[in-house]
Amino acid sequence: MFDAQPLILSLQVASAATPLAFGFGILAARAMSGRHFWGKSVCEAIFVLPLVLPPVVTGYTLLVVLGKNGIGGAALGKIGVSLLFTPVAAVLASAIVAFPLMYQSAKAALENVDPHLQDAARCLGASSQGAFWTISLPLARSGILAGIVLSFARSLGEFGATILVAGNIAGKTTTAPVAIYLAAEEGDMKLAGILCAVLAAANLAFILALNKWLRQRKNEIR
Amino acid sequence: MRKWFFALALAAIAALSFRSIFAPPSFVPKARPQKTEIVISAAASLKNVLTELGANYQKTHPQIVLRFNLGSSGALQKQIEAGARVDLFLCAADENMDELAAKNLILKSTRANLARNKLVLIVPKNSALPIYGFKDVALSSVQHVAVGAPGVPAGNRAQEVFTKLGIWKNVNAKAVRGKDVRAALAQVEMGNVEAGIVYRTDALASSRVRIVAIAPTSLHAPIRYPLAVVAATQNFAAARTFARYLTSAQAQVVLKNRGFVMP
Repeated sequence: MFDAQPLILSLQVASAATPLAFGFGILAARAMSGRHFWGKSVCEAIFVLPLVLPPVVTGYTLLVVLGKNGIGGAALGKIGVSLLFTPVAAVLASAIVAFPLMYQSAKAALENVDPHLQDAARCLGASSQGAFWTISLPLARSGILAGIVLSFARSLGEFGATILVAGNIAGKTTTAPVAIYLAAEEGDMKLAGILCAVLAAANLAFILALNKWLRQRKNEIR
Repeated sequence: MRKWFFALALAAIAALSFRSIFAPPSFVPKARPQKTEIVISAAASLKNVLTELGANYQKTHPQIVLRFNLGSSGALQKQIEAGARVDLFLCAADENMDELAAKNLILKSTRANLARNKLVLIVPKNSALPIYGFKDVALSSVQHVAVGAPGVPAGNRAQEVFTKLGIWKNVNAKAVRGKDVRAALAQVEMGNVEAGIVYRTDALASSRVRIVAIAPTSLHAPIRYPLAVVAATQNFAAARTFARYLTSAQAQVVLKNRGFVMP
């Protein structure tokens, strides 16, 4: 019997992690684009760190923080919440690993928007917030959509950080990549193969759809 | 200036990495005695005792280099089936060895039993929860329990015990399945799970956990460590000599000191 549960869980985790990465990615990109302050480059480097670090390092850091004896874990424990070995931990891990993709895409897109348009909106009475949300953000939507798709695809395949903080509880926190790893270790090549094929096909479809949408947008602009 | 510095640094890094990858003969120390390297795939629960036994063995056999490949018995078995270059196999369950024997991947005449072990329930050292026996794992105060994944013999034995006790369904829903028995031990050591199932020797090797119960042997298949030389070995003599050392009276003393039970 083929158990689709890990695939469904991975989809759920990615669906929850993407809005998180989106929210924080946009806020960070807004804070960073067109602004200069002391320590900006260090700040930017830290934002991109989860992209270049092995995910296991991200997972280990999260494990230390969220663990029962960690700073975050102990504080949460006082209010009776334990995130470790829950699907929420998987969402957090995926969101952190996907965040740099969202941030980079959004920042590049926002920096490409003609600053005069925002200035014009401000002259016509829009607030700084209003000009950002109604002028800059819609104009940057290609890059932002690319960021969303990349974040979702990355979350769907998150393994290294996830297995450390979400553990591997059958039917509860075993995501598709974790199931693939275990199947491969157990020598269940059929299950591993099916899961790999489904993940590869899903991600391929996302990238194809994104590229098609971007091409169409380019034609519209022309 | 700066450009040159970077170019130089890059060239140096490249040169260094090339050196280590394609070490030309001039870099190799002279007068190198002929060394034989044997690869030993062993169950993760044997880690500490094999390190000690290996060090002892190397004192009298300096020409042998021992390379340990530790993991879950199931994963190691699959590696050998896939053609991994391994000389000696030590696992934590008869099943793994039987399956390799059925495929003629081990030399049956070299098969012997190294030791036996016991399955125990452990908690973090400072745990104050009322956990006194395997049945207590079903309590709701135990939110998570560390158990080896399917394919990890300690995990399979734990499943047998909980199934016989009639609480496997409950336990399975909160079992964090580790990739080998040492991963399960680590979860308890870090205090991230309330309890864990490991071997007695794993628990004894850690100062951060406490044994609360030993599983009755009537509840699970015996825990035995068989060993055998792998059929595809290129170093049969060296592998067999080390295997004989492991089952010698001298080595059995070390195993006993670490909490293993004689086969």
